[in-house]
Amino acid sequence: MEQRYFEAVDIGDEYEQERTPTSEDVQTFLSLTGLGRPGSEARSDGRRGGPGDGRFESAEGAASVGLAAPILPGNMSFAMMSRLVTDWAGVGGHMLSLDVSFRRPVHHNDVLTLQVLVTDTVDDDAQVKLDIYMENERGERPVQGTALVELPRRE
Amino acid sequence: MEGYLKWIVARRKKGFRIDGFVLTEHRQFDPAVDYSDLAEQYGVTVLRGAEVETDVGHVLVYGIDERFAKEFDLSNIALPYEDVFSGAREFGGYAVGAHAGRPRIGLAEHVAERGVSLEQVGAVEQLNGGSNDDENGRALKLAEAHGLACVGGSDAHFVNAIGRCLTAFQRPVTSVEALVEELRSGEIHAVRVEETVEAGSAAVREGS
Repeated sequence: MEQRYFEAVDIGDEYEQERTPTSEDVQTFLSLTGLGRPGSEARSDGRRGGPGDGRFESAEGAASVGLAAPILPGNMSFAMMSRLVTDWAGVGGHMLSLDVSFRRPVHHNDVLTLQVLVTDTVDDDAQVKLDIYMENERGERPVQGTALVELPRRE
Repeated sequence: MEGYLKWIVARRKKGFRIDGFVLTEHRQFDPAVDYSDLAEQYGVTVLRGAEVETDVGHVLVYGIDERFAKEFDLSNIALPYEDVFSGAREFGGYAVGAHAGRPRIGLAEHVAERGVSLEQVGAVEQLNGGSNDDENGRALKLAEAHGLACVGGSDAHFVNAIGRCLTAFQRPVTSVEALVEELRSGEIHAVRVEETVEAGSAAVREGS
C-alpha cells in the first residue's frame, strides 16, 4: 500500500475503488458478525445482533420488510467506507473520525464506486478533511459521509 | 460554508464552471445571516433561499424575505403548495418544485396520482444531484408535459456534491433580484457539471 504524505495532498484530490459486494460476500459478513440469523436480535451471549428477518439474505426476507431486493447491512457499508479511508491514508495515516449517512439501500451485486475527495487541509495538524461516498450504477449515492485523517509529513 | 467555497475554487481549477450557489436550508430562513465577505474572498456568488415542505413535496423558494417567513410557518412540513408558490411571487420571489421526480417529496408523483393543479407552478428542479437517473427523467417528463421551466440543483448535503447539477442562465446572476428575474423569464435550463466545461454561466443551489 502506498503511503500518502500531507505535503502531497491538495483540495480536490480524488481517489476511488470499485466494489461489487455479492450475496456470498454478504453471507461471509453475516457469518462473521452474527447479523441476520433468525433470532439474532436476542442472542444467547446477550449481544445485540441484526433484525433476523432475512432482509440481508434473501428476496423473500427483503420483501417481508418492503424492500425490493436483499440489502447490505449498514455496518458492512460502514466497514467498506472505513477501509476506503484507511487505504487512501496508508499505514502511516490515522483516521481520526468517520461519519456516514445512510440515504438509500445498498443491494447485493450493486456496482459501487467508492470515492474519496479532499475537501480541506489543516496545515498545523497535518490533518485532511475528506468527503466520502459510494455511488451505484444508477447514479445514486446511498452512503455518504466525511472523515478526518492525520497524515505523516515527509521528513 | 468555507468548505463549499474552497471546493468550488478547486473545481474551477479542473475546468468546471460554477459561478455561485444558492444556500437553501430546510425549513428555515434567517435573513440576518450574511456570507458576503466569504463569498467575495473566494470570488463565488452566494445567495440565500429556503427549501420548504408542502403537501406536494419540497419547494425551493428564492428571493424571499422576512415577510415570507412571517406569512408561512417554515417548520410546517405540509404547507399548502399553491399558497407557497403564489406567496413567493407576491413577496417578490419565486418558487420551484424541488427534486420533482422523487417519490413522495417531488411534484411528479402528486400530479400523476392525485392530479394536483400546476397552475401556480412555473418551474421544477429537473436535475437534482441527489436523485437517480429515473427520478430526474420523471421530472423532465413532468416539465415537458406541462411546459415548465427547468432548473438544476446539487442538493448538496456534503461538500463534494456542490455543483453536481446546476442551472444555466442567459445573463449573469450576482444578486437574488437578478436570480428571481431570470427564473421568472423562464430562459433557463438544467445542466450537469460535466457540461459546464467551456459552457455558459451557471449557478447552483445547495441544500442542507
